[in-house]
Amino acid sequence: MEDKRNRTAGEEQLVVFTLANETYGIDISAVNEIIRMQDITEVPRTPDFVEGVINLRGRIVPVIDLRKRFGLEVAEKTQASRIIVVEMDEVTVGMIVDSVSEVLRLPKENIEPTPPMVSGVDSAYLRGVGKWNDRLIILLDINKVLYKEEKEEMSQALEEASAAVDDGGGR
Amino acid sequence: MSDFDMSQYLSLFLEEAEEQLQLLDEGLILLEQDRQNRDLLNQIFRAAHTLKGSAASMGFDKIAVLTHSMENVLDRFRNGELEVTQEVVDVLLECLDTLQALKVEIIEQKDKIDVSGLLKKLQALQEKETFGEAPEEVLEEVSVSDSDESKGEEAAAAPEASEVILNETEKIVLKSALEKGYKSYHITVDLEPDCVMKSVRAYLVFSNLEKVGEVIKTVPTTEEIEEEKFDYRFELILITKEPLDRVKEIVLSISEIRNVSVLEFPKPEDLNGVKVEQREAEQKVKAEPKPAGIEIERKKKEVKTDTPAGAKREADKKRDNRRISQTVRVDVNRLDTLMNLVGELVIERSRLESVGESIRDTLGGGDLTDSLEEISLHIGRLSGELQEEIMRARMFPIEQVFNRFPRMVRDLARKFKKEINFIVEGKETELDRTVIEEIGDPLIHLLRNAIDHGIEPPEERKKLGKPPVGTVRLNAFHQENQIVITVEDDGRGMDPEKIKEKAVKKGIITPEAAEKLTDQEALNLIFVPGFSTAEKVSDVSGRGVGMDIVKSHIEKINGIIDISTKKGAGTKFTIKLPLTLVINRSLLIRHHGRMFAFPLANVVEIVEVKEEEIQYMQQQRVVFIRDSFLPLFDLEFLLGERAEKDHSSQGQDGLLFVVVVGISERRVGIVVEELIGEQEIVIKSLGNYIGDVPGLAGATILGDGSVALILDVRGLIEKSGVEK
Repeated sequence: MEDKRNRTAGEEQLVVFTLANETYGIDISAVNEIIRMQDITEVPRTPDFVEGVINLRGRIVPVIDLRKRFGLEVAEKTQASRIIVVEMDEVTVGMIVDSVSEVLRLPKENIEPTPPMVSGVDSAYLRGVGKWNDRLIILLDINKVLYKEEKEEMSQALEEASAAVDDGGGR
Repeated sequence: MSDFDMSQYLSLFLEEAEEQLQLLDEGLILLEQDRQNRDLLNQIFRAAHTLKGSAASMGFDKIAVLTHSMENVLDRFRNGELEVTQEVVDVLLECLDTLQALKVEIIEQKDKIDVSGLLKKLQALQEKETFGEAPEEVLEEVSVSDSDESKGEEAAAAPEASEVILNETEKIVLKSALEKGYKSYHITVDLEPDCVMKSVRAYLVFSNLEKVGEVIKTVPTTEEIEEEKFDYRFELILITKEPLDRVKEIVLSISEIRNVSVLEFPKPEDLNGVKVEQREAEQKVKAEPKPAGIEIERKKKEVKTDTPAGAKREADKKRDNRRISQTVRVDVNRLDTLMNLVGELVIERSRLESVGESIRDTLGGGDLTDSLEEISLHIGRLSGELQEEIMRARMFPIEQVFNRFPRMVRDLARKFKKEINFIVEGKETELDRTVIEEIGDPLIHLLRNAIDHGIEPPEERKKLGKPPVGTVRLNAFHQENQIVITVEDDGRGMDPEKIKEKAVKKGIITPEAAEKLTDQEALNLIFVPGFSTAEKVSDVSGRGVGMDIVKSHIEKINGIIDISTKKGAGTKFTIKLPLTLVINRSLLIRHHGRMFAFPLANVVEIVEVKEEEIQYMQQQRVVFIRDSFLPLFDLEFLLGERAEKDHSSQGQDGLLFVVVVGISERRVGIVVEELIGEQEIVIKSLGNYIGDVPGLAGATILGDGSVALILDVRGLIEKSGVEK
């Protein structure tokens, strides 16, 4: 609720997390909760980025691995790994990330449109890039992350441009 | 009314409309058979009336106008001015269909349906002279466009309050309200003389006033007002905390109100002076007396405006105080949520138990450990009971489905020129709403078939020495942990030979195969896609899609269907269904680290197979069990996780566990690693994000909080490619 007011006041409140050494942010209003890793039951005949389902307090919730979704190198889950549970249009999905660092308010003027290739991630998943204390936060478009069907292109793109993020978006 | 959000009430209205339409439908069918039944007639009238009221308050004029005209026709029944005939009932049923369509129109937010033709028919019925000696024809003013010639008498410019007489109950209510500091007003309302649908205006007055207080008395009575048995004036006593001006303002905010007077009603000290009327005495209509015919027919009605406790319940009271049973509408999602919460409770409880055990192990037993265990046990029992109660709350009587049928049977019987006595039994049998949703269509098919193909035409029946009226019987009852529904007719029955012949002709089976079939197997051919027993194709049945769809529908909800038939004597279909689709008895297995649940209904048996017993037939692993070869498959293959069929799962000591699953005649053996046991599980969907996965029916949460996948045996067998 507070978030909405802040947004109109020119701020966005973000949940910030890391994935393959890059910093990402998602709009906090889409986030239901953040939980630790837990046992995931694999479900047959699903795309490979769908890790399976978990029991979230009596609900069956699918979990996707964001690294796999973005075609990044698959890594072992660590103590820091978290599942960010997001809700979009009545669909609840957990997203595995390397770690969750903070929640912050980002002034809107610090947000810039997505440069063509900002990181290893296809820009189609992004809705902008935020600057925060010399750090670059890649803002994800949750809807696209959940539903966009362009995995092949993506994994191809990642090899070429994984370092692009460090120089401010390669513009 | 414009100041509130209608959408909020729309779903309520639609539900209520559905309910009233159902009542009307049932009532009219019964009335057609029991034409003199006054109680029934009144019931129908009330349903039409309630529908009119709610439609008008929502601004759905077409529904309001149509039901209003229906009411007028019904009123003529009541007054004995019109006879209940098939033709009249036909028109009224047509109205119901149109109302149903209008309802859909509302949902789809369209405005296409024209009711004027139907209104004309109704109008004709209203004017129809059935009895020559009918009392002086009273043409009640119909709210339809044409007849709005305003009545002669003009309402007085400033209405004078007449004397209102309270009965004992009302007096008590008034007194206690006044003592609590409420005010009471005597309100006299005059409607515009050209006001159409006076009762609706009056209803608006009531409903708006009831937002700020309680109407404890009206003159004429509410029922008379609803039936428009008043002219342009009605009076009421309101208990409220609002000041006089505000009350006046509320009334005047409604359109077509000509005038209103609001007077303070006697103070407590005067109350003793208020005239008390005998309770059983009928309320006199103050306004112009109606013709004698109506007066006589009117049933004695208790003046029921409120209960003694009314004053306490103030403004939030809902308008419909005619509802009899005490029920609450609850969104099913809420029940599901409750169910989930209980599920969590069960899981937390088992954690509590294991914590208790660790405490005992590390700290040793003691009073505290004992009470901890006792508490955990108690919580376990409570959550079990809670779960059961919520399950029960999801159960509905099958009545909901069955009630649609009498109308359908009537229409079909007329269409096929058959005479049918339709008997419905076991309406009160309860089952889970998910099952109820699924069972309607198959039953419609079976009933249509029974009427179209089963029951012979009356002349043919007479020739056969049968009673000309055929009987179709629909029955539901509980049997152990199942619901049994039977559809039975006393028609021609089915001839296995004829079915075989037909199946051969249609190329469903070869003549040689047909030879070998038993009678029962031959009957089961009717469930094969593309088979239809109809000699000629009619538009309701015999499209050749009927029975196989029936069967697949029933199997979808884990049910089975059986036929028994006797040539010349009739056919009986027996459907057996699980009580609920939410909870399922399952066989739990572990396979390569994952837990799976087989619905027990599809598990034929579990066998242990020695590896050396496995043979190969055309690269297919099979095992010979009891005189037949059973094909064996790996679960991963059937789930589509691995392409090759023959990745043999190694059992322990050369032994393999094989779960034999089956759907009708198809049998498949599935090799699994470890059997866990039988358990009741709650079925949960995998959700929209994952969607349907072939071979899976959903997931469930086990006692330790882990997730097991529920297998869909139908899907697995399809993947196996095993036919018969």
